[in-house]
Amino acid sequence: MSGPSDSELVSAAQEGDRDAFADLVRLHHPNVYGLCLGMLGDPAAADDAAQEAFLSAWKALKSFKGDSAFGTWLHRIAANKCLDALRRSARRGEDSLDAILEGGGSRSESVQAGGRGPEEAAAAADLSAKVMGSLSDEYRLVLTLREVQGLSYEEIMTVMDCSLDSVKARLRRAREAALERLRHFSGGGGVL
Amino acid sequence: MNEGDMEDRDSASDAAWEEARGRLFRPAPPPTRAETEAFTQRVLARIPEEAPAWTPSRWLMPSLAFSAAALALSLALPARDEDAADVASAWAAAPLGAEDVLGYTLEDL
Repeated sequence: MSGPSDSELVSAAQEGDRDAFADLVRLHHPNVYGLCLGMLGDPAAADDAAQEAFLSAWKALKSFKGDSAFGTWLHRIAANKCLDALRRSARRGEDSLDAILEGGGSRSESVQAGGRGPEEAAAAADLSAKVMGSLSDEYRLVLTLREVQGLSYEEIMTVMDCSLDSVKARLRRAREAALERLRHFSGGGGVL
Repeated sequence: MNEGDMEDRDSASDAAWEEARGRLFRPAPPPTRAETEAFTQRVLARIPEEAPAWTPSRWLMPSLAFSAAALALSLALPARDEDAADVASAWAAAPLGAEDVLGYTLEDL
């Protein structure tokens, strides 16, 4: 059984159909929340950013022309909300991922550590939070889009509003930076 | 093998990155259906109910009432003007004589 497509729901929502928009929220919430959680590290902050993203999407829905997939357009809005949240927290002298580090990684278990034993998952999440928290916002975004969300290069181009070459370059630099941080936080051991 | 995997092979990533990726990016479990539904309701609660710019049910009756009142007034006003014109013409028909005016003026003095 398949419901109405994204484009059908978008068309209805553009006419003011709140039920159609609610369906769009239900469909895209997991991905948008996943992006926000990957970027911000904190479930509450991620929930707030995801809400703001959907509200902005509702307000800007009339301007959506369908040049890209609705989900990609939504990712772009959510990414901007996350970057705004990171800038705000930086101005306040805090960082949600840094706060996780200071808190011993207790909140980071839900970020990127599924499918392991509790201790191993906690250690992996702690390491992931340390590495991601030490990266620039731009690197965090491109890595989250690619490695967590699994977006194609073309989709990342749309979300980040840059060229294909720029996406590749940013991703390469972000990976190098993440590897370097991973070696640092791992104490230089392992095969890395 | 999908397009993304091919792209990755073309990039500078290597076995080290593949291992790092496994350590760094383990997707969190997706939200449950109940969590998504609760989230959806929170979003909808924050969307204001927007009335269209012109809503017949809201403006039609006041508009009709105003129009009726304006029509009634326009029909009534000429009659009142005629009444006023009649009074004025009555005064005009009996103008004071110059002697009367002089008399009143002298009385005031």
